[in-house]
Amino acid sequence: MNPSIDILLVEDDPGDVRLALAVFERLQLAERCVVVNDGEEAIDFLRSSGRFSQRTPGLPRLVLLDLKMPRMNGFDLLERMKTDAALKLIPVVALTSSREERDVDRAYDLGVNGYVVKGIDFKDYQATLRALATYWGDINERPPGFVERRRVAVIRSVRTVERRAAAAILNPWLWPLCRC
Amino acid sequence: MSMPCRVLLVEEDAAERQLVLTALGESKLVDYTVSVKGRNEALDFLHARNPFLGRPTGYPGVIVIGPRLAWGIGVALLADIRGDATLRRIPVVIVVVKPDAEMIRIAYEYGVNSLVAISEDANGRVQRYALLAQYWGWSNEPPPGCLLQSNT
Repeated sequence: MNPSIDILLVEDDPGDVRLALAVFERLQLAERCVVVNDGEEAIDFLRSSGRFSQRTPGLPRLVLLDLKMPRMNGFDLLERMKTDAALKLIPVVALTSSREERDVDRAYDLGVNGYVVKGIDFKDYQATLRALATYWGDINERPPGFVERRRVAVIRSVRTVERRAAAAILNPWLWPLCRC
Repeated sequence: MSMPCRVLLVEEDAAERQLVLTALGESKLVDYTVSVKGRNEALDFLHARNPFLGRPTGYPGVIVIGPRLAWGIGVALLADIRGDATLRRIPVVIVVVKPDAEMIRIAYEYGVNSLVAISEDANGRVQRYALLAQYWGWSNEPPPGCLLQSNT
């Protein structure tokens, strides 16, 4: 699995979010997944605005998109992304329970990269997400112009290690745990 | 789970076509695959004309443009598909050996659904083709009008 995968999961159903994160946890992807609950939040994330104005820069490798959501739904978000020069190349896969022909047709019409129907139970759902993560994370070549988040993640983890080391040095109770 | 939808493979090189078909066989998709050698033949298939006149109606669930087809011809085929109101929803995957950033940008700008880079190593390529087939053949829901629809 390519460790640089970053997923923006746009999903309003708390149960589906929990299920997805449980699967990503098993695939060791949970830390690289950001969850937002509707299209407006997704736009804020992608444009680093609103509550995401201070987030680490970079665009996700994949947007997993539920179609039926409050406020801005998946179709509206897809349309906004595919008509925005800065966002249109990000691969978007609809992850939905709808297999209705008009939904599938509309999603492709708006330029979705893939359309995957959620499995009916945890085992199915896990297999679906595993296939998605493997293909879009490891097989698909990401569009150019994206900040390589892996480097950011490494820098962040180094800082975390440094912070922990500094905390250990400052805290005598932790000295026995220091091996350096 | 979807039924496998027909794959249209566009690949000029016979050995590469065989490699892809081997991988598709592992994914049990080989019986649902039509392979053609180039852009004109692909368009003939898609429009059900010339040698494909009278074929079952419908479209493939995915078009895979192989790595040995000249890059320019592959992109021209992608542009043909995206410029045709009846074909433009069909997912298109381009497979290339060592693409540079400009090639990747062009492919996405022209509306490719996915671009897959492969190595020169035959075993590695078969593995990639198998994963590609697994995803597009089994996991992805094709647009309405493809030859085989999902089973539920």
